Amino acid sequence: MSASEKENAKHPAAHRLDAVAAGDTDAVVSAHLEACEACAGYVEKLRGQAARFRAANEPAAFVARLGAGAGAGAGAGAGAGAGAGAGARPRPVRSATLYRIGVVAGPLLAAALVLLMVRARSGDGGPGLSVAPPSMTTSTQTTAESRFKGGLVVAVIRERGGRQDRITGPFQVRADDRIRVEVSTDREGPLAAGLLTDAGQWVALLAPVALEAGTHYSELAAHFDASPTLATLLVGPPGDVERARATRDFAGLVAWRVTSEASP
Amino acid sequence: MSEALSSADAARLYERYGFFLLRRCRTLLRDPAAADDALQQVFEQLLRRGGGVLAADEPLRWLYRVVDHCCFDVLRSRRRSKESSHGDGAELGETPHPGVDIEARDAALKLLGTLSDEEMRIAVMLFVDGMSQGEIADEVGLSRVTVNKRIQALRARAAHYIEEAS
Repeated sequence: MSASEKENAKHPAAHRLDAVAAGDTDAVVSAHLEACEACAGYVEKLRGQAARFRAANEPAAFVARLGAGAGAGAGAGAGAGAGAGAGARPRPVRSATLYRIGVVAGPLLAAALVLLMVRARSGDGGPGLSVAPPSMTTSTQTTAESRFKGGLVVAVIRERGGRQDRITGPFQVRADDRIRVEVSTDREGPLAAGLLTDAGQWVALLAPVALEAGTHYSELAAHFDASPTLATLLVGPPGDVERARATRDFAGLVAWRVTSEASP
Repeated sequence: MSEALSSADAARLYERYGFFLLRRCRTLLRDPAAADDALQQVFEQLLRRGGGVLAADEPLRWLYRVVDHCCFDVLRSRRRSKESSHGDGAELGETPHPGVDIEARDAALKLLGTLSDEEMRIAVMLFVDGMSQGEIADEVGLSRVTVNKRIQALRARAAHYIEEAS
């Protein structure tokens, strides 16, 4: 057995590591990740890449395009599958370009149709922010993952001038920024997320809901205007978030300070 | 893979595994546009006959087999038409399995289109999936001795390719 084969035998096969990175549960792999830095790094990197892919690709639009294409190409690919390799048909390369346009255009059209933003701005000195459906833009920057109690990994996607930054800690905003929350969890359970302003206003980004293991995005984005922002992003179990809103004790929660770039 | 998969289930699979399937297509084909097409083809097949994935113990492993077959078809087609890939795996931001020898892996991927079906399967399991000889033997239904011979031959070809390239 060669050195690399011995190395292979030390680590779970790629499909098992990949499955855990996708959000599946595997007790053996999870135990291995606790002890193996190389595999833990591999899985974390894939989690981040998968999260960015999910943020930029709308499943319904992808499948809708397949439906249209399958009608035009009936019979293509028949006979292929897990147990048979026959049936692939040659495709013109340009179909990939059409695919990308379809995936991007679908969400943009949907976003245009629901561009009736729900203004949630308070008049009590809180931040100038509103909530709206997330938009689709190009991801350009990322930072490392932050893992919290309960197998929770949280990141903020900040959209600014057509680009997205993926942030994993306290962050600053300025006028026209939009943020949404990405939550990856390795177990099923209820979670909530939102912004609590220093003035006491609560802007929900992820309503309390039972989430499956995997990666999820807040259904709403917070949209900031030019007013100064002083707030805290809270993510965690709904009961703890509710308590924190009342007591301002953020123990046990992901609590990241959000400030305006101009503010101290 | 005989029952159809609903659009809703296909969307759920795409959301959960789409990145991983596309990444595998890119790894095997080393051509982003061809990989996009292959992923599309995989899901078209799933919509027609992919209901079995819902009962699979390891859905991603099951899906990887479908991806592999689609990609092997593309590679065979390239071989027939003497067409080469348009890209290089290095530009795709890949994250190799921690256990694999990256240089040998890259060489094996470049050779993939020249291999027989059985060799392609073994090469992917060895150099991409980081599977052990025993796991590969179980998967392909060959004895460990036979798998070991195939692996040694693959390694020799990869080493020869690396030597030629350098």
